[in-house]
Amino acid sequence: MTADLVIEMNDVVKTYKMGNESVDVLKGVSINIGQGEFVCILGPSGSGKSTLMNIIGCIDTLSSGDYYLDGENITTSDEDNLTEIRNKKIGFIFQKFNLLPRYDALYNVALPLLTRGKHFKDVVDDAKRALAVVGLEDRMKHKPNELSGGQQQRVAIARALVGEPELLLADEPTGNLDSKSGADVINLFKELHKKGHTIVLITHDLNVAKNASRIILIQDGLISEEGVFPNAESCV
Amino acid sequence: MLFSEIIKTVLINMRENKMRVVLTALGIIVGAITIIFVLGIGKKSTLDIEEQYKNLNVKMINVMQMGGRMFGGPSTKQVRFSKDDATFLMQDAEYLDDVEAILTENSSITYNKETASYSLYGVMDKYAEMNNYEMQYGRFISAEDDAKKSKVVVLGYDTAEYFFGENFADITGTDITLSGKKFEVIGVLTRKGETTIDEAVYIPYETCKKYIVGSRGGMTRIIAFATDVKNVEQAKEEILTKLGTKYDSNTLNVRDAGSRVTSAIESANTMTLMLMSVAVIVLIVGGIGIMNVLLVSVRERTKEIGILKAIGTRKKDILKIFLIEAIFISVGGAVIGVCISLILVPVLAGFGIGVVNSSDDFFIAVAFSLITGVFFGYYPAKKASDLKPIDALRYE
Ligand SMILES: Nc1ncnc2c1ncn2[C@@H]1O[C@H](COP(=O)(O)OP(=O)(O)OP(=O)(O)O)[C@@H](O)[C@H]1O
Ligand SMILES: [Mg+2]
Repeated sequence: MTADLVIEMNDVVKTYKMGNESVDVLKGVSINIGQGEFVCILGPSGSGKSTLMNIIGCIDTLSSGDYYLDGENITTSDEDNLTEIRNKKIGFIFQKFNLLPRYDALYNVALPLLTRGKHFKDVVDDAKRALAVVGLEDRMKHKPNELSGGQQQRVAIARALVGEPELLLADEPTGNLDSKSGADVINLFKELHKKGHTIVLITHDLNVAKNASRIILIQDGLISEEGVFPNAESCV
Repeated sequence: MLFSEIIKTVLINMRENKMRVVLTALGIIVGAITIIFVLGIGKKSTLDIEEQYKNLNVKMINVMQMGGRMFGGPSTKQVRFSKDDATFLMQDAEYLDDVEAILTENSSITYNKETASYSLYGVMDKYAEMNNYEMQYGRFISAEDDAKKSKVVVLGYDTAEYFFGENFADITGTDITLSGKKFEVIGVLTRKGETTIDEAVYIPYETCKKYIVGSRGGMTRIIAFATDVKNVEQAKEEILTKLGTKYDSNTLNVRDAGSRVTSAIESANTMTLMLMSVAVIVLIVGGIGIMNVLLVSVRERTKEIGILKAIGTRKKDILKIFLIEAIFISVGGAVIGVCISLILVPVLAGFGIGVVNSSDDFFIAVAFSLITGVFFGYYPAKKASDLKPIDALRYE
């Protein structure tokens, strides 16, 4: 079991210092997420979900505790190592899509591969394939402001997928979408899960969470409940 | 990221912000033009000085006597130079190539009932050669003329023109009257473009002494020529030491021609240097402009930098993206500045402002702009690359 763990977190604490006061936003979170799982993180606003997700995604660093990603202890990794991990092992999907406004969809999707030092012409097929997975191969020359919110989020998902990471992380990916495009995006995650991707997804929406194979409930910086959702099995 | 991909990224960014790029480049354009013009003006003034002194033999050393006369004292007390001093200086001379004694007089010249006053020089045979004078007609004074005290004369070009008209023919063999005595013209000098040379007549030293100055003795100047430009200082030293044994060394004034050119060029260089610092200041202002715009750009693009970091773009790639943008703007600005200068130089020449540029100057202007771009682009670029991903992503 341990060998298949993608994420292993022990007693993670995140403290923010505000002036001379310090606030513990995460107060000792321990989670294990295995290969191929579809985990939903649920919790009220301000409970620390995004903070946890940013630490999982190596965008932020923890204050104390241990973090093993894919078997590697990255608790004290330096910024350069974390940069490489973000590029190779993690696909991050944001609530606000976070596409680069000046580049078209294809270039946005290709960026994680260009970052690896490849020529655009050598990665353009991979980028097109990733866009095909999210059903947007016909929109590849569009810039973000020429796409709908749902389409932008699907481009962002294609960008997260293109580097074939171990882990897909999504922080409220449907938060800025109407219910129809939200449902499209969730269906996309379900498909990706079926294909074997490990997915961690934050949501407020219980209906979204129903699709997950496991739910982690966070309240006030602590995991309050954790369990396999009954409907989850039927989704797999 | 590959360099080519970074360049592509930079070009896309610049294309999307054309106006800002142009405004930023403006400072550099002006700076580059200033540098080119300053260098051009400096070069022009150096060339002017060289042109002005081109007839000057830099190995030439003027020996003059100061004293009595200047202070109105009795001139009888003064020991005057003579032709013997020239011979004396040349004895066992170490650094001297030649020493000439010259008698300077004013003389009335009459030819064909026309009379005019001209400077008259009583000179030795090597005088023309040492001063690089060339002959239009005939020959210069020979040692024999001097020894025989022959009544022969060489005319400066303008003098000849005055008496014989424009485009005068070979007039050697003609007799003219100098201070009431008949002299035979043996040659005419080629025009030098300097009145002191062209509006003069030259006769043998001894002839001058005997027939023109007579018992008054006249004023003898001594002109020496160093063996080499490098030896001018030693030659001056040698003259002072030797003449010091015969004359009161306080009355001796020894000056070389080269030092006049040198000091003229030095003052031109000082001018160029001053103008150059103005140009550098203009460039620094341009550079601060670049820094300013890039800092604004880094702030504007903080979110973007966060996104790039989130997908794993390396620090050094982000640094390169901003630094290369700064370099593109500065070098692009410099190239535009060079082009504008190329157009402006002939225009200014039309207004009589002389600017002489070589390709070096354009290279220097581009190089300085590049340095400015790198110097002032580095800080914003470093700032961008050092952003923490979480902070950059949160920025709105
Ligand atoms: N940079 C920061 N400095 C100080 N406090 C912070 C910082 N970032 C987050 N917090 C605090 O940490 C707590 C958790 O924030 P977080 O964004 O993780 O909540 P969340 O569960 O994602 O909420 P939401 O569902 O609204 O997105 C909040 O109380 C927030 O004020
Ligand atoms: Mg959140």
